[in-house]
Amino acid sequence: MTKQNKQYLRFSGFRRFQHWINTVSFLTLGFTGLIQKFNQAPFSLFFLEQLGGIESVRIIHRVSAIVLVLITIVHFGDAFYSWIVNRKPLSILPGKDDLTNAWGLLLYNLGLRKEKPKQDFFTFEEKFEYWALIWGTLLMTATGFILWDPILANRILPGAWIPAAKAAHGLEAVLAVVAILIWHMYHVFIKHFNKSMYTGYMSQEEMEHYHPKNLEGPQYIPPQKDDPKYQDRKRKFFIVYGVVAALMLVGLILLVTVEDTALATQPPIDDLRDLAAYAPLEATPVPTFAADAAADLGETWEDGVGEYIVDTCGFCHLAEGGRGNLNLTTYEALLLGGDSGPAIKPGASGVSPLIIWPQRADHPKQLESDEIAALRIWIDNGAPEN
Amino acid sequence: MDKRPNLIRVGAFLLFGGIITAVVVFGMVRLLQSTQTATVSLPEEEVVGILPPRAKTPSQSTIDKESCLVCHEVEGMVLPLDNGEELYLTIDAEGFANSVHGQMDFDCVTCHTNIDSYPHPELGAVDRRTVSVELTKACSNCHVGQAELYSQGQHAKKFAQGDFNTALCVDCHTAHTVTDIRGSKVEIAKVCETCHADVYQIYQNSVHGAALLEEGITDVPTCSDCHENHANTGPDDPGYVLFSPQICADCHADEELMAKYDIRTDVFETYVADFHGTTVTIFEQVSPDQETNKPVCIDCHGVHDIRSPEDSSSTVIKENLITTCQRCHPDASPDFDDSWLAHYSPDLEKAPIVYLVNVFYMIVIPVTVGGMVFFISVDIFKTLSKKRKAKQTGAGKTAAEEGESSHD
Repeated sequence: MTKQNKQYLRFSGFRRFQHWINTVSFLTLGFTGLIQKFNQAPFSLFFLEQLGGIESVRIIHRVSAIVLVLITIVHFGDAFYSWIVNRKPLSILPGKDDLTNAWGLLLYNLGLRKEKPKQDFFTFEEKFEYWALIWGTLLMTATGFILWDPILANRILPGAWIPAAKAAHGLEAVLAVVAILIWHMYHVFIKHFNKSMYTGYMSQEEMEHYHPKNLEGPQYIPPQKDDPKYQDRKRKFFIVYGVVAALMLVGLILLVTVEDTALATQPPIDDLRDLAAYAPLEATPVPTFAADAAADLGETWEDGVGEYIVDTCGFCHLAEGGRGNLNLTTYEALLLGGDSGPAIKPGASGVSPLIIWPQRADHPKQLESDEIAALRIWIDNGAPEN
Repeated sequence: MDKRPNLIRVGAFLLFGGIITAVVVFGMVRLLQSTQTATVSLPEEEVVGILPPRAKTPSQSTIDKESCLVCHEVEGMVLPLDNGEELYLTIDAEGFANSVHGQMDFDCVTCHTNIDSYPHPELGAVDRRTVSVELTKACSNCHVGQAELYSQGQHAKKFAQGDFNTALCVDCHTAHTVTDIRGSKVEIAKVCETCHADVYQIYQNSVHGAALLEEGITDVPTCSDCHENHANTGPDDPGYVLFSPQICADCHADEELMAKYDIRTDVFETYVADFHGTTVTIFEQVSPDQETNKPVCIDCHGVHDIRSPEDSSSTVIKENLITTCQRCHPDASPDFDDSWLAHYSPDLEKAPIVYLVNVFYMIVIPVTVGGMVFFISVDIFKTLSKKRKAKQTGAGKTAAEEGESSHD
């Protein structure tokens, strides 16, 4: 194998799987989260609508969150396995060298130092990226579940922590997304297209250029698979990790299912809205016009009403050629009426011309109020003839 | 190569990095400080036209009102109806003369278009309500705009569903003594009371109702300010509840108006920025007709019984707030109401933890992002200048140098 062709393993297939699952969930979370945070921007409103509304966006956000938490649990298992079982050095841990390397690179870039700092298996740029991700994921998981289960959270934390969690969740999201856009994009795409997260490997040349220090020291030798000590470590690890991961899973299921406050708030009880909309005031009664006193004209036509009408009205409303062709001298003629129809409507004194017309200002003869009252009673009683 | 660092070049590097950093940081800070405000957008009040009187009167009759009043001014004209009710036919001539129509010298037949002779045609109606329903149709002959609005309102919708009790034109305006009550919020409330007496009872004890009815303050809303008049709306209308915060905000975000009563104007803005309001605002913007399960103003403050926050029976004062929260969140702990910022923007006094979180990120985000941008911009500058140098010394460059520059 020539020097140029020697390949160094940087990321196992499993690690790459973790990276890409993380990528998908991170991007989904970032996108669906930021359009919620900046929901009044036209861009956000457009996507909120396209994705089926705010409630649907929240569900997408939550599903991605579950994926992110699961892959993080998996990653911790993988990382600890590699360290404890495989005895691989924890090269991702930050150290003093990272500060000197960062400072050295800045001075070199500014032309104040001639030599570029020599970096190890993970450069300080990569470690910064990684620990920012770890810190961000832990913080976002914690604050995210406070928002997911505010009532449960409030059993443990003061109420004021819930809006604080909301503020931190949103601002940390801005920080994380911007950091990824700037730092990660620059270092893996722009400055140099680093293919190792696709292929898993880095060439000798790239290693010499970016991770020269890693080539200098003693190379990592994987443990012998049949070494009983290795076997023992492996067994113990799986027991411990199995318990821890199971507890985490139970916790996750609990947090996901314990309450749905933020997704589906119960509708308010109805005490504000069950008021009778239609509750009319008592209607103003129709006025009654019965005079206090009614004259005694008798109870029927025969009994005296007829005599009163003939005497009072018959002078004009006579049998032949009565005014308005109205004859008020017999009971039959009264019912037959004249030009304006029947003179009475039995049972309805209020619309019987016999009552109305003599009260008109233009009627030659005006009746006394007690006489009108008596006639009203007679008509309302059905205007009996005898 | 010169062993001493070229100070001019270092300065140029720093300036380049500094400018880019400043621009990015400035943009970030502006973005973070931008508050999430939804705008209040109440529809403009519709101006409705009235057709000239008589323009559409079908009856060509020229019977003047005096002819009618000869009989109809007689007291006690009462027609018994089939269902036992009585239809009162005596007209209050003076009341009519003082009405808007009387002042324009309308005749009876302008509206009673079916009357052109005596004896009159049979009424045909068996009860008073049917008479009103039939006769009120005449209003739309002239009041086309109002009729159109009315047809969009809840009263018309209820009527179409067969609810004859729902208000017709004449129920609010009367038939013969129509007066202009547009200027009087008290009169409007009284008109609504006719049918909505229970709501009125509650309203008159609320902060708004008491101010209007007891103190005569007309800045407060009367019924039609929230429910409209002709195209009247209410919670049965899709979108009404979601839209309702904007109705409240129409006054409560009005600085000039609120200043008169020393009431804060940021209540809408802070509502929109908090849990409930954010969702309601997005619902309203994205799917305005959907039912909401998130509270709007009235869910916490009350609907018709809104109290002043100085009133001990207010649903939103500190002592009562948790009870109000528990209406929707029955399992809430006693200090759950602290999770609501109570319409305040977080500061050291009102919500110190939230405020400190904001301050923390207002420092951390610009510093982190600024640092990254600075670091990267210097790195880019270095790469570019190296490439340029490699070109200048093109002939003499070694394979190693070439490798170096191609990776930077």
